[in-house]
Amino acid sequence: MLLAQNQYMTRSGQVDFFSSTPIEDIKAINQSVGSILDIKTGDFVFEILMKSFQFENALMQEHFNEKYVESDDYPTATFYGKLENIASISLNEDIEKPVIVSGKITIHGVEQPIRAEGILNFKNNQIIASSSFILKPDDFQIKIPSIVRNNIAKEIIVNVNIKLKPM
Amino acid sequence: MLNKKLFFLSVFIFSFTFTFGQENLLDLLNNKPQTTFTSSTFKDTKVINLQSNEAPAKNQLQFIISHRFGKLNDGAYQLWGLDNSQIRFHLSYGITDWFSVGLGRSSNNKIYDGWAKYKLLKQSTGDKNIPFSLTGYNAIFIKTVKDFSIPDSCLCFNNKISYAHQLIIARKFSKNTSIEIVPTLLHYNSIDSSSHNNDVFAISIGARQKLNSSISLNLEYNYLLIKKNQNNTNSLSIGFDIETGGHVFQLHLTNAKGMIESEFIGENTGKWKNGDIYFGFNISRQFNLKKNKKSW
Repeated sequence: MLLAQNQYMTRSGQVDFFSSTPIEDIKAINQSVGSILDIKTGDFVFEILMKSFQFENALMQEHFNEKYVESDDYPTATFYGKLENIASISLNEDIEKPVIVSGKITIHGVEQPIRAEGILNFKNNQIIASSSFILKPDDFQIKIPSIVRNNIAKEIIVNVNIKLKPM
Repeated sequence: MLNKKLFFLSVFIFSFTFTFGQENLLDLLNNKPQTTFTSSTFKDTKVINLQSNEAPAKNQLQFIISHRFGKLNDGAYQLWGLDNSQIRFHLSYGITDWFSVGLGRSSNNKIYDGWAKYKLLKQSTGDKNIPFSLTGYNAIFIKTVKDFSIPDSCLCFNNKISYAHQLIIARKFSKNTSIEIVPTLLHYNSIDSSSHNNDVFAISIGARQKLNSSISLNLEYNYLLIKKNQNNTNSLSIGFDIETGGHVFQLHLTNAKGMIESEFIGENTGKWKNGDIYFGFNISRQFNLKKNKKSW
């Protein structure tokens, strides 16, 4: 079927983020990220359950969900957008292609435009995609109390690594 | 006829394919419900005196220092109770995310205690919908004060022991409001007189209302159904949780002098209307003993 050839999907993608300050480093990883890529239209979506981020410390995880991203009110982060110039990208077996993805990202109920560089690779009938970009908590109205302001970076490095399979 | 049906079917499929936009792709991702476990029903492992459904997570060590000052009705000479205080140390550790153990020591009656707390059910929504969480708690108390007397029996080790068994049924109703109901069974190996009961049964209720992201108002009431003796009273406590990042401060007013179940539930004699009001606080700190290996 037409649909099956164009759309690739995962529910076990990986997104991690990293905050580094002189006081402490905070890392969190989420390995149950959902994503669909349509290689014909270039449509690309992500859905991330905030409570699935695992921190190295249970207390950090609690503060993240309870105080900062308020996961009860905003349980997911989403992205929808497009692979730019999809027509010019030919997916050959096992060759890494630089790509640009642009669209809208929603975290903490706040939508922001985003444009990020990434790499796409077609291997064993799977699409392997990765990207790295920076997000600012401030842009998403995530309030950091003054008492921990120096512990949390103004710019958070986000890494995306996913393997998409045909739907 | 068959051709017509096939035609409509193919039209349907094609229109379906072509209208797939980005939002529809998101819907496609959404359609598989995931289970979300409710977290932070209560801020700390205690509501005030009463156990909450929370327990230290795996590899977390929790240390609580608790103080209760004297009674408000002690008057100005005792600075309304502030001249007297008793202390409790409480150390607990999460062996797994659902099973934790602890040790404590209270200055009142010099009681040592040990306990196990285990999560049987976790409240969740989504694919698996569980409306409440269920946590078990079993504790043993050993009274080591030298000069307490037990009529008609020896002051042997066995007579210094009492037990508490609780089932904590907790529900987070909204992100700000949580309530728990706790049936408690207490057993005292020895009692002061034959008219007293060895076994005490109580139902407790604990509640938390968040006021902002760092402060919540807590309330608890322990209702005795079978009393140890007729002088025992139900304890009622009200307090605040204040979270500062690393520590949780719990400040409260209570009519219970004791801080362990055998005392604040089973042996309480304080009455609010008589001014038997104790000011107290718990300071709780969690330490991460081992980094979560699964992630890093």
